[in-house]
Amino acid sequence: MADTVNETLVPRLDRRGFLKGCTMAAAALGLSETMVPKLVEAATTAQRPPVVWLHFQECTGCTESLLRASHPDLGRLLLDIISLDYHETVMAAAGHQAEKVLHDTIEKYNGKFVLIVEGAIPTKDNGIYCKIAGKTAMAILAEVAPKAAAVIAIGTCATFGGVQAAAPNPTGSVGVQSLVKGPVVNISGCPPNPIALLGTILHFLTFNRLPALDKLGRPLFAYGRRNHDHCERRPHFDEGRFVEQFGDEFHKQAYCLYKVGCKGPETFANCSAVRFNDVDVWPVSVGHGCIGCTEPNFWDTMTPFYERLPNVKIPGSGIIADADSVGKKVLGITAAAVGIHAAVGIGKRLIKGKEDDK
Amino acid sequence: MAQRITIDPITRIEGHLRVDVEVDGGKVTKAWSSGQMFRGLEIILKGRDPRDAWLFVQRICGVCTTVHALASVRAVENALGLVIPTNAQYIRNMIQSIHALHDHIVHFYALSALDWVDVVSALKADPVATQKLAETLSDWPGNSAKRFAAVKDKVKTLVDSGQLGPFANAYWGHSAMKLPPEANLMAVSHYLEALDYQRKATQALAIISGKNPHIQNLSVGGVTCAINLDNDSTLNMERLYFVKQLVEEVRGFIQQVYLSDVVAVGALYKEWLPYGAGVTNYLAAPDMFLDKEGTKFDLPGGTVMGGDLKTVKPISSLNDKYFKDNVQESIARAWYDGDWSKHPWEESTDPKPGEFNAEGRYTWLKAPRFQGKPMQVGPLAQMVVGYALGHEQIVKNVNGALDRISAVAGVKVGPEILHSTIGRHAARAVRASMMADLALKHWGLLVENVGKGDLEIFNPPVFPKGEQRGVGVHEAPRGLLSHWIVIENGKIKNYQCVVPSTWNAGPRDAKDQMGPYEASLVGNPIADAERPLEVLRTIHSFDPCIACAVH
Amino acid sequence: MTYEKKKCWSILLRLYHWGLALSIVFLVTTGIYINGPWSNTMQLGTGLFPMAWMRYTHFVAGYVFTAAVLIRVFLYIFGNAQERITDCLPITGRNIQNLGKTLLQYSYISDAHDERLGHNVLAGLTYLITILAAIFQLASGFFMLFPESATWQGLGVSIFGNQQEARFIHHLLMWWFIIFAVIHVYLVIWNDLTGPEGLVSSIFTGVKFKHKKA
Ligand code: HEM
Ligand code: HEM
Ligand code: NFV
Ligand code: SF4
Ligand code: SF4
Ligand code: F3S
Ligand SMILES: [Mg+2]
Repeated sequence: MADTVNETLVPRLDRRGFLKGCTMAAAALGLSETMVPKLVEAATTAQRPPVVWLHFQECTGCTESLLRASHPDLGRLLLDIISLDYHETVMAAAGHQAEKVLHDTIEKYNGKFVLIVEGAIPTKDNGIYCKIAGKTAMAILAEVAPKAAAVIAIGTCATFGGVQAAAPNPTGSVGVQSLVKGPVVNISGCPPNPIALLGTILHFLTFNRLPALDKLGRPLFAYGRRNHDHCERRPHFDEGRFVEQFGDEFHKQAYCLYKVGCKGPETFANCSAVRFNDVDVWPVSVGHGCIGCTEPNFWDTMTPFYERLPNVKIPGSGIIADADSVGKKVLGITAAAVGIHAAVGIGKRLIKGKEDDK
Repeated sequence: MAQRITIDPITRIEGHLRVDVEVDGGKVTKAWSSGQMFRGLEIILKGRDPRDAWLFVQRICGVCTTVHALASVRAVENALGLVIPTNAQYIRNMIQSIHALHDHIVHFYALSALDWVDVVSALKADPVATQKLAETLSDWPGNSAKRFAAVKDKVKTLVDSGQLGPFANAYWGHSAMKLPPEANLMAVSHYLEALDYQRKATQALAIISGKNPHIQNLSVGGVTCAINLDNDSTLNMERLYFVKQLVEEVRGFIQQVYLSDVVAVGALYKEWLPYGAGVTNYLAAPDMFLDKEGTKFDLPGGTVMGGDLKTVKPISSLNDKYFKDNVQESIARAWYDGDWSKHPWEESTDPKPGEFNAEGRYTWLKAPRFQGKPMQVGPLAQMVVGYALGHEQIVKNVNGALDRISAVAGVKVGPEILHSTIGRHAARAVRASMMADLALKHWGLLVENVGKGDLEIFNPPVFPKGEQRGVGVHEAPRGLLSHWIVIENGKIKNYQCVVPSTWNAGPRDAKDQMGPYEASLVGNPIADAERPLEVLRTIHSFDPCIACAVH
Repeated sequence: MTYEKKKCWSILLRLYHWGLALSIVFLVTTGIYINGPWSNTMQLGTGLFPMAWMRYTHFVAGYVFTAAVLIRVFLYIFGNAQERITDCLPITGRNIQNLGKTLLQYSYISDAHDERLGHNVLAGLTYLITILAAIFQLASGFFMLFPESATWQGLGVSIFGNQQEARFIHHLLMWWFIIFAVIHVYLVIWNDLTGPEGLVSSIFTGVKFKHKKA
């Protein structure tokens, strides 16, 4: 078990080693070169890289996920690896003392700190739906983000708007990348597995560069494949053994959850591969389908969660209906139309034929 | 001359809270509690599949993850008259109790201890003397001079680095900080150790629930973690004993460290015992159900009015009309359209944003009322109600804690000290200790029932045409939580959450009655208006969750 | 009355037609299975792998389908006069007239009927829409098939959003193909019965019968 004070378990990360590693690795990999020089500087000026963590429209589940992390665990992360200078949930200072910490940090480490954002940003009515110290989330982000060396959005709220952006999105919430110029690393998930964030940070500190990202800005090491592709129930899927209803005999045999709504086949995440909380579990291993929590707009596109296909809008029509009921109706109408057309044709033939006979 | 202080952001809580106080003669004379963020979950749920609701509302809060989920499935089941299998009930109870262990530990150490503990002062402590002090409180094996020395060294390295991180610019050296250096060092050591034990609790929870925060093993009608003792990928004895072992380890920490630390803080800060009572109407929900129908329970619910134990009235089941009929929410002082006070089934959520106006509207929180009165909810409410009802376990555990505080403080204290800032911490620690016992009890009940051959976990919901109304009541770590649902033709027509932190952090109502946060601040001492540490102490004692409170 | 044989469909077009028609039959059947596997078993070790086979068949048919679509796109540009895209669009006076005539004919209002070597324009338009639908169908299909390909992901994300949305559109478009097939088969038979060209056989032989101009 991790022990946060046992020195033998805390080999201090060697900054010089990082820099060496960085030069070596820079030659081998090729991404986001532009930020490297800034970050090398950041790594050399402070003993531990300063991190500013902002909370907007969120539930703190993403922060909470870090309490569950084990490699590194939170104590080690905070005491040995990074300097978490601003984070409302853990910081001891409050009110204007806290405000001062934020301002001192972004000025002192201008262009050198890492910004992590948790939560979406409401944009409706000038963003009045989320305020801290009298300023809107929009204003704070606009002030802090341009000064950061790198911006990481954690959670589906900060990446894609999350639950508050679900229809009808009452506060006009958006993710960070909609408001910030320049690259944003998206660690999506609701919440993400903490190792996705920690892996990104450690990669960054080791090589002074960001890991490779997918088209949605998500690190490939955590979002490169779909849950379905590494699911332990996949053989049951291939062999056609499915749970029909929770609690049935198929469920007791831990068969595939596809028919009770599992969205593993359309969800890019590493849940099935790396699992949660160090006890070898993920949603599917407790008999519930994946709900697709790492995907953009999953609250609207993956619902109803217990059905295979969602009730998404039929593009452009504003109609909300599921594909098959629409399809079957149109097919029915078609068949009826064909039938009537044929009947009219035959009827006409009969009449005409009689006329011809005359 | 009265002076107005605004503390924004209140940190070490969940969410965006602003507190304003007026200070006169070194004491708080007026207070306002203001939630600063709105998301609109109640609006978003309209028209959706009731079976999905729990996954949405769970995202109201990632700290008390699990509780909205549980309240939501209960609300839908209540509306449908759907009874869940016995195993599902026990599994849900394990989720509730194990989550509470994590939540309470994190609250005391990570979110509130720094109000009472001066980290920097720990540098002056002698590790050997610290061990001696710790040994007077408990025989926890982690309390060794060696460990204390290592922790002290850790603190020194941190301070010497010049990068204090989350500890920067705080209230170190504040005149209200009273603990001797040794007590501070012990507390810092436990602060770090708590990080390991809260994690164990979340691991136990994850084994049953797939992951957390945000569990994924519930469903309207039961749970989804199939039980099959002869399968490697279901709940089997290996999984269940893994849960048990972790919970036992956490129970050790709670009973030998957390409870002792709270006793020490209570005793060493005995001059704080008179502060922070505020609203002494208490409301708690019955929970930890022992039967399928929700009529027998391990945690009692009810009300106590005006701090008078003789006024106690029980809430005797999930369907008790005494609770169902008497809840209303007022929006007179909040940023919503209208100024009504309505029963949750009749409510709506129509945001009408505005600026903070102490005389008018000043928050996103609605103001819940019970029979028109503000109520305090939370572990303290549950302990007071249980104590008043003569609930055996609660009386025993509360008296035990009071005796220990008396012993360390050197003065005899009784249950009257519970109505206070420190009382809330004490009640929470006692509740954590009871929850650890209950988690293991319900583990035993589950195993016993499974041993009888009952493997049922799910009864499928059926949604009839027409309208159904339901309420899901749950005793969350921060107090009584209720979700109110109206279903029409299988879709959600109205969904309203009345949340513990809404009860506690809510604003004034149309009659100008303050909410519990506000009332509890009045009379608090303020030594230094520039560094209002005392306000944080009282606010933190409620364990605020503002994402919950507004949603 | 005398008729003469006239070459209308190249071998490539006929190949494409039957490739497309056949693949669609397989794609629809296997696609419906993929969406809602109707077989289920408790039995282990049957070695049947129904879902794996259905998917495999779907993907093989998907490649045939894709090849057919590509051929059609080629023929739209480089095919013979009847096969080019210009012959399907109501952009010439002759074609606009034909569109009106066909509509009147199909609704039994008039018996007048152009004898064209190529498609009537209503059919041509419908086929064009079908090919466009087919392009979205294969794009969503390949987006689902190659999750770790940056190209397909980039394309898929920008056209459809997430994979579930792609899947939804993929599924929705399936209904277009089913409904098209019903109407199409009905109408070619109807035309075969009401007109002189020998429409059905033309798609096998490439030859239509036309009134011999005196
Ligand atoms: C007319 C043409 C096609 C039809 C009617 C069709 C139909 C379907 C249907 C109904 C599904 C099931 C989706 C669901 O409801 O869950 C499906 C899945 C799929 N189709 Fe197609 N499809 C067609 C063409 C293609 C093509 C050209 C490809 C490309 C290779 C393709 C690749 C896929 C893939 C990868 C899946 C997902 C399979 C899985 O995840 O298990 N499809 N298709
Ligand atoms: C019994 C089966 C079928 C027969 C006899 C048949 C016959 C024909 C004929 C005669 C034509 C030329 C019509 C004209 O000139 O307007 C044609 C074109 C076409 N058919 Fe079929 N068809 C059959 C099935 C299908 C199916 C199942 C599909 C796909 C759903 C299909 C798709 C097409 C398309 C897309 C064209 C247009 C060719 C082009 O792009 O120029 N056919 N078919
Ligand atoms: N208040 C609150 Fe919760 C709790 N406990 C909700 O029901 O914290 Ni996030
Ligand atoms: S992404 Fe999910 S867990 Fe994270 S803050 Fe948003 S709702 Fe909470
Ligand atoms: S349980 Fe879900 S992820 Fe696993 S194989 Fe089945 S559908 Fe795929
Ligand atoms: S719901 Fe989320 S946590 Fe993983 S299994 Fe699915 S992506
Ligand atoms: Mg509410």
